[in-house]
Order: sequence, then C-alpha cells, then structure tokens
Amino acid sequence: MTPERTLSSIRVGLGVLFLVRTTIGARLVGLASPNWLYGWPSGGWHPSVFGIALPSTVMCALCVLRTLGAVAFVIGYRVRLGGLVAGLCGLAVLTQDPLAFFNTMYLLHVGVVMIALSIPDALSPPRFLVMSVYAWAGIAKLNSDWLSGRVLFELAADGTIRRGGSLVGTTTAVVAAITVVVIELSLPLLLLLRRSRPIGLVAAVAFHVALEAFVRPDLFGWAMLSLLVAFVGEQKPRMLSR
Amino acid sequence: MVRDSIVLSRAVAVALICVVLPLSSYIDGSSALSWSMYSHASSYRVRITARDADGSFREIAPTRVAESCSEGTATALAGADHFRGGGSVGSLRANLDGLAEVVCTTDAAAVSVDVVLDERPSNPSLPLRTTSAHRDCR
Repeated sequence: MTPERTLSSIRVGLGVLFLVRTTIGARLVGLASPNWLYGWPSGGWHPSVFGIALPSTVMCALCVLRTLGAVAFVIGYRVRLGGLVAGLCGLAVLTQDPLAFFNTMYLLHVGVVMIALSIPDALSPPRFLVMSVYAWAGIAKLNSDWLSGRVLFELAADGTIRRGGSLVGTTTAVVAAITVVVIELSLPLLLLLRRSRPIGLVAAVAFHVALEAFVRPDLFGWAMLSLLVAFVGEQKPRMLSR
Repeated sequence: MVRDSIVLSRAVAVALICVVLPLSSYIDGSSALSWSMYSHASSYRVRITARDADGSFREIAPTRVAESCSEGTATALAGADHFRGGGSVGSLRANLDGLAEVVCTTDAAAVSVDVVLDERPSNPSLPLRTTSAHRDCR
C-alpha cells in the first residue's frame, strides 16, 4: 500500500466513524443518539470544564461546523482545514458536558486532528497516538484493583463483560488482568520497531477483536483499527518529517 | 515558512495529545485524558436533601433532578441514589453547588438544599471520599 493510500484509508475510515458517532447516524449501529448532532444544547443543567459554559447559539454553531468539517475531511476536500475544524470544534463541544465524556469520543476527535496534521511521508502523528493509547492504558492498570482481578470480576458481575462467567474464579481473573496489561504495555514497543511491527499489528488486531467480543466498547475498537492502518506499509523513517 | 509551521503544529499536537494531557490527567487523579478505561471499578452515589419551610427534611432522588439536566449529566445522575459505576465524576464534584441550585429552582418548597457526593474506591479497605454542598434557596 502506498503512503498516500494508507493515509487516505485512515482518513476515510476514521472520518466515517467520527460522522456516525457525532450524528444521529449512531443509531444505525445501535448506539444512543438523543439529537441529530451530538452535543446539541438541550437546555438542561450540566457542569462544564473550567466552569466556562458556552451560549446555546455558540454550541449550535460548533456542532454544525464540526459536522461540515467532518464531511469535508471524509470526502477529501480541504482535508487539513476540515479535520482541524471538526476535531477542535468537537473538542470544544465535549468540554460542555464532561459527565458525558467517554474515551471513544475523545479518541475519534484527537484521531481526526492527528490525521489532519499528517502527510503521506510522515505518519508519525497517528502512530504516536496509537502507541500512547496502549501505553497509557497499560500504565493505568498498574494498580492493585486491576492486578488483583477485582476490576474484571466486578465488570463481569455487572454485565459489562459479556460471557464473563469464566472470570468468577479469582485465578482466571488475575491471569486475564495481567495478560491485558502485558499486551497493552508490549504493543507500543512491538509497533515501534520495524522488525516486530507485523507481530504487533497481528497482536493489536487480535486484542481488539477479543475486546469487541467480550466488552464491545462503543466504537473504540473500530477507531483503533482505523488508526492501526498507519503501521501498514513502509514510510520513510523520519519521525516528524515534512 | 508554511511547511515549517505545519511541522511545528504537528510536533506540538503529538506532544500535547500523547504526553502532556495524559500525564497531567494521570497526575491530577482524574485520569480522564489518560486512557484509563476499565482500570478501576470505583463507584459513586449522590444524596440530595431538601429542607422545607416547616423545618422538615426530604430526600430527593437524583433521578428526579436528572430531568432538569443535560443528557450526559442526566445519565450520570440516573440511579445514583445507590452506588453505581461510571466514569470520572470530578466535574460533578467540582460543581455540586450548581446541582444544588438546580434543585432549588425545580423544587419550590425547598428552603435549602444539601447535596452530598460519595465516591467509593474499588478497594473496599479504602475510605469513602465525601464532598458536599449547601445552598439556601431563598
């Protein structure tokens, strides 16, 4: 796959996911979407980041601009401008209801910003994003709650993990918890090194397929799979090159 | 010149999104931007008490207050009269006074409102983190 085609594939894949998740299109994939555009002001009270509550008219404008930017980003018209408008307007919308914050939405927004700033010869922004997600997710799980299997046990008990009956045994939960941490902390290194990259890609795809089967974390896995395309094919070995 | 600015903005974005924001979020304890999904099983509950003019106290279900809140906030408040799981409630903790004000405006009989947020860590040996706010309605 040529670098141009790689970047286009990520752009279209991630852009479509972004559009689906931030519009009423989310219902097409069985996800909740109370309004035509995500974040459209409903008039109810909500806390906001830094206590800055934007007026409704500004919120409406941000939602529309975000959608127009995302459409331009997907169809390939003024990709950089469209992606930055979509990502930054969307992030501004997300600050207005932090209790509604979830990682899939954040990943889609920062992912679109990263792709907007990428060029075919330097796919380092999405690559760094993918590696940092795995690394931080692994670091966050280096705590006694997770490593003891308690978190997995509770997630299985409340139904977050489907088919989680096998986690009832403490040993199984501990082994599964440690395995997840090892995978998440190994993936950045496997993906970083050219020689181990194919193994890293296969492991990452298998990891997300397993997550989809057991947890189905919104569109998170699909967004990560889109970004993982940045590791397919060869790019020039310049980290942040022009 | 334009290309230089693009390279610079790319480097800044990578540093910000991949390192600075997750690290600061990790350090401040909210972990909202550090990809900490599913790493803890902490839970929280919200207790709302209104005092009427005759001095009596009433418990108000957070679910009832949720009707006056935005979609995301309503989801966080629904069923929160009992301990429930969910994402970071740091923004709710920082804005309990605002929630008390909402109760004041929607409950005409209330003279004052107390809102208490209890956060229970997944490790049962650790203590509850309790934050409260009081607001006079008149």
